[in-house]
Amino acid sequence: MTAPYDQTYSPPLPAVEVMLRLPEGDRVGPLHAIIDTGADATIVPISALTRLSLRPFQSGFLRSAWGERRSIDLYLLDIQVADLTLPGVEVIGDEVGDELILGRNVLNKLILLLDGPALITTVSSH
Amino acid sequence: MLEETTLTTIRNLVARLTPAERLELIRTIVDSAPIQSGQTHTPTEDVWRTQLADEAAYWYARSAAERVPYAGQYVAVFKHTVVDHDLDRRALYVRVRQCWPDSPVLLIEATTQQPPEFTVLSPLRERVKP
Repeated sequence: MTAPYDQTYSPPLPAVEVMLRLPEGDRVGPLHAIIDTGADATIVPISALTRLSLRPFQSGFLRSAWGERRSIDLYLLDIQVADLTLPGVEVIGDEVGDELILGRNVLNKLILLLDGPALITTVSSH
Repeated sequence: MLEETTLTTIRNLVARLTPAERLELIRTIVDSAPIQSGQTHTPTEDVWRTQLADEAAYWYARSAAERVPYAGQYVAVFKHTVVDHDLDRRALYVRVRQCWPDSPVLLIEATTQQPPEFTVLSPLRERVKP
């Protein structure tokens, strides 16, 4: 699967479309997702989680590059990227922002080619 | 992160406490945590989070010996009791949601002794102005 970089950001960001699924079958998407190798975890706007009627199963903390720490809730769902479905992915619910951020807990399961000059992301699973 | 000297002091103080006193201490710390700005929850959501925090405090206070039977697994904790456990967190999640669809059941890696902490190194991204 290939996807164009998101040029609403400067400089442009690599991004892909994903589907969020419950184990029970409900789903939401496709949703625009930013590829962020600097993020430990995947972050999903709470509005998308609410549409799936998801409830948190654990809490934790999120620390920024400058050390600020905030409390967060963790949710579990399946994420489909291209033709690959990743089951039981732990995601952070974002109650403030509206960006879906794919962190390394998802990215490390994918083969990604970030073609910056062409502004194209290619995702494959093998 | 806490400095090692601070952690050593805390460990020495906690070593004298009973499990019940440790649980009370964790609850006190959790209750004293400031609410982050921008987070608004419904009363139902607040109850859910409070109960999850209570279950987590209970689990963090368990001794190593109590965790050993679940080593390498995820446990489901409800009303201060391990109600289920599994190597596969998703399978555990599905069973828990079927049995307790409207109850805050904590799912946690058995060896976990403190809340997980994640880091996002990327600064806030700014969109191009139209």
